[in-house]
Amino acid sequence: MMERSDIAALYNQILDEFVVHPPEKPEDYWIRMTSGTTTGRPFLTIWQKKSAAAWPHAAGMRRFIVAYGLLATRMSNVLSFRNNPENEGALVLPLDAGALNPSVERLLDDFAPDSFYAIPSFATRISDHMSEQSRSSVHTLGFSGEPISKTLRDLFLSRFPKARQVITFATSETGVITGFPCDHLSPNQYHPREGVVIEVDEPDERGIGYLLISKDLLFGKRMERYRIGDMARIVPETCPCGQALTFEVFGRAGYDYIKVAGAILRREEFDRVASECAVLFDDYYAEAEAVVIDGKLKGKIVLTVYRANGVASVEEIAKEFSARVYLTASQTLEQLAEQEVFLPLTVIVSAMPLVRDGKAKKLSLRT
Amino acid sequence: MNTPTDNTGRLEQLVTFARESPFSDFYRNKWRGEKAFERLPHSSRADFLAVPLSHRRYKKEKGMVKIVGTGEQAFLSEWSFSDIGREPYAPHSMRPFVYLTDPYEAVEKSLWCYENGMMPLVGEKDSDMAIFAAGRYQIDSLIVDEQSLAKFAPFFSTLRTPLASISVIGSAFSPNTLMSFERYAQSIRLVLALPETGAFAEAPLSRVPKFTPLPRCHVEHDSEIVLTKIARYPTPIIRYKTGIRTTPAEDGPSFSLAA
Repeated sequence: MMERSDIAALYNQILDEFVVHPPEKPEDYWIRMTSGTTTGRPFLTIWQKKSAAAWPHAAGMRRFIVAYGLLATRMSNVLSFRNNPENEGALVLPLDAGALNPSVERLLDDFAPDSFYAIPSFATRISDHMSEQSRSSVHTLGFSGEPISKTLRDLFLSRFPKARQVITFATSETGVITGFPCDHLSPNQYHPREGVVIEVDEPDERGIGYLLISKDLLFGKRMERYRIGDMARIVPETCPCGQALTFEVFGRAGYDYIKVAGAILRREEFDRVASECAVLFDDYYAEAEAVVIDGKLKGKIVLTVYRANGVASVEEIAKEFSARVYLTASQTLEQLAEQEVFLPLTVIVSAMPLVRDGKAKKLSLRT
Repeated sequence: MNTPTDNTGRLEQLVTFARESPFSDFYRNKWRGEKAFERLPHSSRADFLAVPLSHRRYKKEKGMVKIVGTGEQAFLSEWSFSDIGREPYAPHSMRPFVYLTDPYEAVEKSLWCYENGMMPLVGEKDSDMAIFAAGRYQIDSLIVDEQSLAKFAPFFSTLRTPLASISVIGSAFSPNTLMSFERYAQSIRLVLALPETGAFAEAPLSRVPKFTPLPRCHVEHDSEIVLTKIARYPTPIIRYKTGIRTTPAEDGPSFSLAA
């Protein structure tokens, strides 16, 4: 099994090979740095130009918005767009978050996008600044980079009623590892791309364990059973589309999917409850940890909330949130606190809007 | 005003292209029947701001759109990939590093590298990450703006040999500050450019840089540079007021930037 340090060493060898023996056509490759935001020090990865077959959904994208935080990710998608021979005359706008203010609506109306490829949290922010006319013209929403909950999918459906949602799984270290999604997949389910081998390590009773990826890289190197840090399961049922393997991703271990004191904390579940508690607070961030009290291991959750008008009742938020959020298949935090498996929820009201680095982190494991 | 005679025929063709275009009325409305090039009313950012891109698009070619400016002063600028590739932003190199403050310019100049047979590394905003990445890639050239160059300065202390080139792109320069980087590259070029016009003049770095108009660039010196790029861009640049004040040379096309 490979860990991040093994992958970094592989890519360093690839980079050294590229520098010492540059290919005849360097423009057929692209290079980027991993973000390193959740897994430590970044490193450089090199990829070969994607073929048009890797982007079957790109046909028909005439006015394409790419929206990612990192320039490298924007660049890779702009390059794929450029290299696609099927979209002559089409235009791409690599949108920057700095442009998201009320005046951008007229620019987006002018550009008239028909497709997006974005990180979901960025796409929601863009949609806040689009006119209804503009949103109704979008026919394809492509997402990657964050798990996408049903709540978010429904939001996109309401804001972009004519858009098909296409979700791919990609990381800066692995590239895109999923093929074009069929119509039978549930949210966060995927078929692996040709040449990619998917396994799950240390599955729990529900089959959820650490996602392992194997695939060929450049110059004869191979990523073999790389544990990328995401949690996943192999879906046992055969997909009606006939694809041999389906896997489901639950997010980053320690950020979107946390195991604490025998319970499972899922960001999707926290988002759902936060949505139900929208009258009580506008934004949240939860930090969980295992603590030892009187010799017993217990779970502890600290929920930090922000309310734009500054009025928030700690007691009411704690009561409502605890009663609604499920930490096991059948038990809420309130019930687990009564059993003393978890401490009662701690709620902190932030005077400032919650700011998080990198991707939209809502849940984290305190270690 | 400087009007090189060898550009005259091509200027007329460009004006005819814009005047007779079936795609846009932008310049027809502006010029209102005026025929003589030197009397064509000037265009400017205010015009680009007032007229949506979709109404000043003169050709349909695969390319990139970027946002120029901020807030209420922002407008869209469109560049075909082939037009991007024809801009003379920098010399060819093996491992260029693109490090620009404006994210749209960073993407566009990276595309320029690809159009010209190079694999660039684009630098992220965080200077520590950018310096780390540049060192790992063993860059041999830099495409940068003056603001980013200042943030990138710690990188140069790690160099064992000078870079092949540094191309500083912008509309204003501080030559005395830039001179401190002279020893870190075999050549440092100053490239005069605006996001919506592309590059139009260049100068080797010196204490008083002398800029020379680039090929296909017709530069007039009024109270500011009035620029015409002899190229059929999605929005052609014809008698465009750049806002850049200059001191023309007494003879020849070169000029310095006004203090």
